[in-house]
Amino acid sequence: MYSLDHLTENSLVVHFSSKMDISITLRIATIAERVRSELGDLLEVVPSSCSLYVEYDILKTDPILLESRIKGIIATTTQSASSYKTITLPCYYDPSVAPDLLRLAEEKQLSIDEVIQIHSNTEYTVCSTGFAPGFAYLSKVDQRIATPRLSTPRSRIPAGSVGIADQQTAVYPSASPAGWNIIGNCPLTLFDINATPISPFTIGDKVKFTPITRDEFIEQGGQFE
Amino acid sequence: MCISQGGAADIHAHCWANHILGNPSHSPTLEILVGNTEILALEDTHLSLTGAEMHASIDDKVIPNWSSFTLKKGQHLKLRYASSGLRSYLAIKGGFKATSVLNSVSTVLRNDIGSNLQDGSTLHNNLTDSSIHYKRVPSKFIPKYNSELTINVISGSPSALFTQTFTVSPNTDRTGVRLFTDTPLPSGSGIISESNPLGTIQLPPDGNPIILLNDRQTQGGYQKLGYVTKVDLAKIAQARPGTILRFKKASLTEAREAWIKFLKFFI
Repeated sequence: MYSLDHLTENSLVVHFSSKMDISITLRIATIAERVRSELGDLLEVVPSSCSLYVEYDILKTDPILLESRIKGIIATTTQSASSYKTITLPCYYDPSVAPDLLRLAEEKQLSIDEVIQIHSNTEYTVCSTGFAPGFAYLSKVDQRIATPRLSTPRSRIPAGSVGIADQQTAVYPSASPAGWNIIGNCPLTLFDINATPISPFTIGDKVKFTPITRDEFIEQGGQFE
Repeated sequence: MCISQGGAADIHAHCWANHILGNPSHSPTLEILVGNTEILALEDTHLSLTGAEMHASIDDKVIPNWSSFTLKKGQHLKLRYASSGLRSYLAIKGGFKATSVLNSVSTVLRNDIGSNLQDGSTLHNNLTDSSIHYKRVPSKFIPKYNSELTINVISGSPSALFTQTFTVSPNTDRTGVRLFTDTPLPSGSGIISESNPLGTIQLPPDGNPIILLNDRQTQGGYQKLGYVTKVDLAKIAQARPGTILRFKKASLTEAREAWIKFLKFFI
């Protein structure tokens, strides 16, 4: 089941689930592809892990007609059947680049090494892209280190910061305001406006983090701020 | 897309600045925050200025806001600090020349796209016919940037948002306008990240709402209380720190009608 809500003058969202479920995420990505190619002339079609967001030109599009067409596509989309790549991301897990690492470990009654081991031993799936260019929402973070967002977001954290929010993890590709718990830093460039594609992540891709040393971090272009 | 929307924060002032010069409404304008800016004409140039009141003058002679004018070669246009509103829009006949990235000339600093002008930057316009009819925006379309505002919000759910007053925080930029309130709103848990339209009012767990503007991150996981109507976003973009806000429920149908009317006028 799903629910479709009109949000603003020219946008709507379809919620498919209130829980992370990778098979649902992949189905949403397929629905988004069909909405883009079959309905055309829309301003934004953005799949997320549990929802699909659509923004349209109110002068060209009748919201009620659009709603029924989207419902038609949902009704006739069963599963996705693409193949996905695996991406390995180096990560320097250290309090010098990770303001929340120590606190998270203490809250979870784990050692820092255990947090690192749990985070880097899990294979994640790209469930959504967005928030910022090159930002990919990765699921699922092991329950033992899953931590809610900060109650007040930080105004700025440096590029490369690796964060946890509930059962999602992600790398912030550029300096940004951030509400996630920062546990490490990835020195790779994950967004380049002149590259094709501009970001390596596609929904469905697999991602693994590899712990690196301070020297490796510096060697790969890592920065301390 | 994962890149921030960008564009003029106050689309009302931006569109009028172009309109009184006869430019298409999407022509690039300069968004000038707070003021204290001086511009020297290297050629005779037709310009217009709208938005915040910055007491513009040409070679020390005051000119009216919300008007088009000519800056002759060698003349200085001077903007003082804004006395009401936050952002001025300076348009040039033909539109400013700017490099397009992904079919937009917007500057979005958070994505390192576009250019933040520095002291000494030189700007050019796209060549066009050089005639001008001096125009002033009709007074009924010139907003007053009051220190207390009532803002229309599209919202499906009842919320304490509509019963309290809020104050605009100084910690406010093109990403979002942070608000604070004496009694922080009860907040639910975060949601799984999803897209945030322009004007989303999100509620972090600290109970102080944030209204998301043009340079917002495209996704977010905080609870959402509603969406400021497109027409009222122009007021939010001009709200100075300390401005008192009240929110009022708007009907989606009426908000759509008002937005369509706005678009049809300028497009």
